[in-house]
Amino acid sequence: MESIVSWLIFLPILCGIGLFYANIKEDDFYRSSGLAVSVGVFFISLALLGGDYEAGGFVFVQHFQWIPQLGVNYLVGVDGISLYLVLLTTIIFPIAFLSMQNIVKERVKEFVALLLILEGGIIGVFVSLDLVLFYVFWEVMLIPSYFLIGLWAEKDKFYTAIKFVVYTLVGSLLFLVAIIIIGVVHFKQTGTLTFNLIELQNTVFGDRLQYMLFAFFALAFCIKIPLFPLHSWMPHAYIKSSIPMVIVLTGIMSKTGLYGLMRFNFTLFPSISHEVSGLFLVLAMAGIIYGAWCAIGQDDVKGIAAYSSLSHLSFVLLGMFAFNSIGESSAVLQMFNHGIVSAGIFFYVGLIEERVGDRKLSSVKMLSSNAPILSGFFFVIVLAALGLPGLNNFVGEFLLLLGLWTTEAVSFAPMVVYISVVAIVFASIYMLFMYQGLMYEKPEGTATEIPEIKGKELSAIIPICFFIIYIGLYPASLTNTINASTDKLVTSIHKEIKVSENKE
Amino acid sequence: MKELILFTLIAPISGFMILALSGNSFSEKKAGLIGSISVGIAFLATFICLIDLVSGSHVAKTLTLYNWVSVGNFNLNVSILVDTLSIVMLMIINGVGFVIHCYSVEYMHGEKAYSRFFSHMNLFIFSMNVLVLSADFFFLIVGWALVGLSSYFLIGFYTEKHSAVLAARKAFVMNVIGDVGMLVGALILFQYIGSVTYADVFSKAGTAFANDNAALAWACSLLLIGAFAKSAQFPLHTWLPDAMEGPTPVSALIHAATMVTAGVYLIVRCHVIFELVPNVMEWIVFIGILTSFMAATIGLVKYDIKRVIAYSTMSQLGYMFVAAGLGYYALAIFHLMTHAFFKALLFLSAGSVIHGLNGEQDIRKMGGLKEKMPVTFYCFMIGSLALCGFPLFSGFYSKEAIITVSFMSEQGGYCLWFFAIFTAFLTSVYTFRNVFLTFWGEYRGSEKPHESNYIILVPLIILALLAIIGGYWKSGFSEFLSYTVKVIEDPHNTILLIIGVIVPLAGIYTAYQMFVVNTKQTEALRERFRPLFDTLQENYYFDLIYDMVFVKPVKMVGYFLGNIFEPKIVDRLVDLAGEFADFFGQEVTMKQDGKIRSYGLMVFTGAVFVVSSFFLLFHINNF
Amino acid sequence: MVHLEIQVLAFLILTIGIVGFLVRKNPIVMFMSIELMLNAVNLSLIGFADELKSVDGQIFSLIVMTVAAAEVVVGLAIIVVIFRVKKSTDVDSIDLLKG
Repeated sequence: MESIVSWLIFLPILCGIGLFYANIKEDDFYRSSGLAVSVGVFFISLALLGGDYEAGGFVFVQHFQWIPQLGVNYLVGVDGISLYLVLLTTIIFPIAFLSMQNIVKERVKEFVALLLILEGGIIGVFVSLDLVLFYVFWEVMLIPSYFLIGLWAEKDKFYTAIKFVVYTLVGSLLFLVAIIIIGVVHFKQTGTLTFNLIELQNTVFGDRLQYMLFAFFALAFCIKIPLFPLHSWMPHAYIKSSIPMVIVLTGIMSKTGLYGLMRFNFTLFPSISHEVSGLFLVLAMAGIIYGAWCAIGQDDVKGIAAYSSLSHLSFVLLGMFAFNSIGESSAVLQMFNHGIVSAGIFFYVGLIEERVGDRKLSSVKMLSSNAPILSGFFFVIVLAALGLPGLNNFVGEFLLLLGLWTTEAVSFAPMVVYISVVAIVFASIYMLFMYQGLMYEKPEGTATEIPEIKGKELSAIIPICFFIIYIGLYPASLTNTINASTDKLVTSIHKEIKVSENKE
Repeated sequence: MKELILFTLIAPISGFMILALSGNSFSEKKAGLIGSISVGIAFLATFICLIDLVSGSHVAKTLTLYNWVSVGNFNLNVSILVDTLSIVMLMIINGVGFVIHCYSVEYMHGEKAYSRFFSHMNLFIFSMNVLVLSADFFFLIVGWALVGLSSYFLIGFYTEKHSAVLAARKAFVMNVIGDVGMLVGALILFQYIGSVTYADVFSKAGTAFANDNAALAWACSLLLIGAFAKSAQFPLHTWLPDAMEGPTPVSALIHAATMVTAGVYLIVRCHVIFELVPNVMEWIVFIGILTSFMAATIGLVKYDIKRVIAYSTMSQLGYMFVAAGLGYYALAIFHLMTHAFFKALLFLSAGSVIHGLNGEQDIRKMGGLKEKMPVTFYCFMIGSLALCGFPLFSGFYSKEAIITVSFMSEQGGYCLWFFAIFTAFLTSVYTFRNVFLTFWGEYRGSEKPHESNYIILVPLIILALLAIIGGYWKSGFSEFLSYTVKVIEDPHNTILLIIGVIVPLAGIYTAYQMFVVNTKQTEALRERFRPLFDTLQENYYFDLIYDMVFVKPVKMVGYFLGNIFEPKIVDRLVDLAGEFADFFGQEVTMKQDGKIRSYGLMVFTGAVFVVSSFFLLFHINNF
Repeated sequence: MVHLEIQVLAFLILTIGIVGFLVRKNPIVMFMSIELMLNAVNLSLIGFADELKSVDGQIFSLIVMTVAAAEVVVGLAIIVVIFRVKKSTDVDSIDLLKG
């Protein structure tokens, strides 16, 4: 049981590498083996639910030396915060594999192999508790995604991929610098060289140095989220990449940034995080409105979904930078919700594009009564995305806003709420534009008959809809596990803030 | 016994699930049966609970189901509140709902998406029950949004009709504005009280907001946005007339009898906190009477039989807001009930007319239907008389009382009363204009009119009976409600009562003169006041103004941001960073020209740079 | 005591040297400019030595002179070689290092 986390990381990576060397001609073999591995990983990850998260600490911890000369350890473990992100990863990947069945037609073997390696890298990011190890997985995640974006993009392959990579590399190189500085500072203070997150927690940094380190960490993560105004790689990557890759990008990789902020910035630099929360809240608010507004102006369905993703991801930051239990717990909850819903939206975009061969609102014409089940499930997902009360996204949004409203971190929190809720209205506008533009008949032209949803597609959609409704009805089932860890985080942040206030 | 109330939720949602998941595979008979029976079960359960409550001590019961969420200091259970107010609402919703479902079985006959209609109707009943049974603000919002959703579905029921789709979207977006307002209102309440359940909020609001009444005023105003949006009050009223694009049973159930009255329910339910901020109460009265008057004037000129009734709904909702705003909660709910009866009756009989004319809705193409559709005519007549407040009909008891109250209560006065009574006059004019143009005179249409069959007529007759006798148990009704809300005895004033009887009669007489006897003069009058007539016909240009001020700018800015600002400015800046690096590299390569002098220059510049940066660095201490 | 005038003079001579090095094309004149710069530094060193009452500066200026003499020997030799190859002493024509 101890090694279960390592299994989750290395099983997909090893299978991915193995597939590279496989010598079988049929593409279907690779498609189904990718799906099988990811489903297997999902079932293994269910074992994580058996851990004891009541104490708020890490469970399933595995610890041994990796490069002892440099104090680098292989240290992995999960707590209430990372648990649902790992589960989200293992849920989203089968969906991505299901969505590639009919979409990816060339170089299938490489696609499947890279996607599996990517899965291992992402799980590694969520479970690493050693900074260097985290950085390694962070980069492991980057390399396959470069190829996955570049080789299978619809157009501007090189431009899209290079933009994504350069953008993220700028962040992650500074991140590496910061990691090294932290290690050195810790070494100077204690005499032991370590990158263990838990031990580094108590390191004291110089006044200016810690701002710099915070900025380097935050930059890497904010680019990944993406936070306004660092988002401009996102429309390209989301709109031009193939659907399975977009599902992974928006569903999980964006969460790595949010998770990184919460895990590393908040743990290592609590008082600074608290101090700059105003800036982050304003940027998040700008992103919420900007993303929503941009989505209204899109004609491409993928564009609408991409910009709505920007808007919804920024929502999570509102709760995170509230620095109270409601905000942090709901931020984790909302990461899960957004992953599920955005994966569903993009899955449907792929499904419709495959059927109609077009995804421009101005030119697609089809009638929902041709395929009631297809349109019914689509509408459930659309409703979740536009924040219909009773479904999962609204639960998250409500709690995030509640956390922000009751925060003591900034004085202008109500203002941020008032402006951000406009995006909820906007969300209903663009989501209905999208749904009605696709599914309802327009005054001009005739409708396209589309085939009803098929079994394989249904097996991806039903879990998504299940989570949408289940979390809407009973969010406590998730938050009860998350609470202990976020409470612990919040307590430690507030303790640190008190210390730094007393110092002044 | 109280667990029985759960059937009001389980039955409709099961009906919805069964019908929705069946696709369109059920036969009409089966779908109609499932749809109606599920609501029938809900009604029966409500009825048993009502008897239980009446025979018992009338005490409110809370049924806690499970812990919904618990994070930080926010702890919320899923619970159901059964008290006299919610039972009254449930009786109206499920009773009228059941009748309308039965009516729809025949009315929707032959529709392609027959079972979709019933599934969405069931969803609506479920959502409305959630709204009413909720014991806290959160699930109130959930129900609030779900009724908005089902209303969206049903307005846009004819998906192949573009105007219906647009109307549905408009209604949905406007209702989301209301939802968002309520959401933020709930946040404020939680901030001060630490809970969002009714019990906590109402018991602690007085002390929690003692030092900060402005915050409570904000919270109440934000809740009111929700109420105004749902009840189509000024300035969020423009969606209701468009909502008539939906099938007629939908207009009867959702846009007349139940959903649009949710705003009134909200104010009555939350009267404890609203009373703490008298300014807000005055606003409610003001908006109520304004909407009431405005809607009545528009109703005078419309030609669509359903839209006339829709405007009268808006107008009557205004009356309810006035009553609630003045503190006469039982009266507001009483008018809500009688209105549900006679307005559902009016819509259903209008539906019967439309059904008999194969979809014709323009009253200019009707006329003389009195003999051709006698039962429908009498039902429509009863509904109209009740709406006008004709003595001995249900509307008289509720509406007349509201008009009296508008004069006699502390906040009321001449001005309020004058508008209230004048609106009542206008109401009877346009209502009977509708009646006269539809049923009197010569038939002007081309379709062959025929009376509807008994499945349509029986619900009409039931509702007609209710519209007549619905007003008779007023004192018992007030007493029943007094277990939940504060009830003030209605004032009596004989002079006002006499005026209140005469005015509707005068209105009917005026309508008779204008639309039956002297139609030529009416024509001339219309030509003389053409600009006014056009303004009314265009709903005071509200749609136009909203389009210009909100819809177009939002779309234009969206287009600008998404297609010009983002690629040409934000993204361009990022690309420029790359291009700068590229350019810089090329420039540096060029400078390597092999000439000693340029190398020398670079050496010197470098030296100066190094020295000066050392200089700077040593003066920025402890970096 | 402070010999500001000495330092200003040294700075002026240095500037003349730098400018001369950068603008003249004749290698001999450029060499002279370099000598000017070195001498300006020597002047400055001696000025500071007097000011700080320490002989370090004077000793260091002697080392500079020695190095300058050695450098001239090597430099002139290079110029002669270049003249033999290129038949010209115009420095702008010497651009073998061009990238």
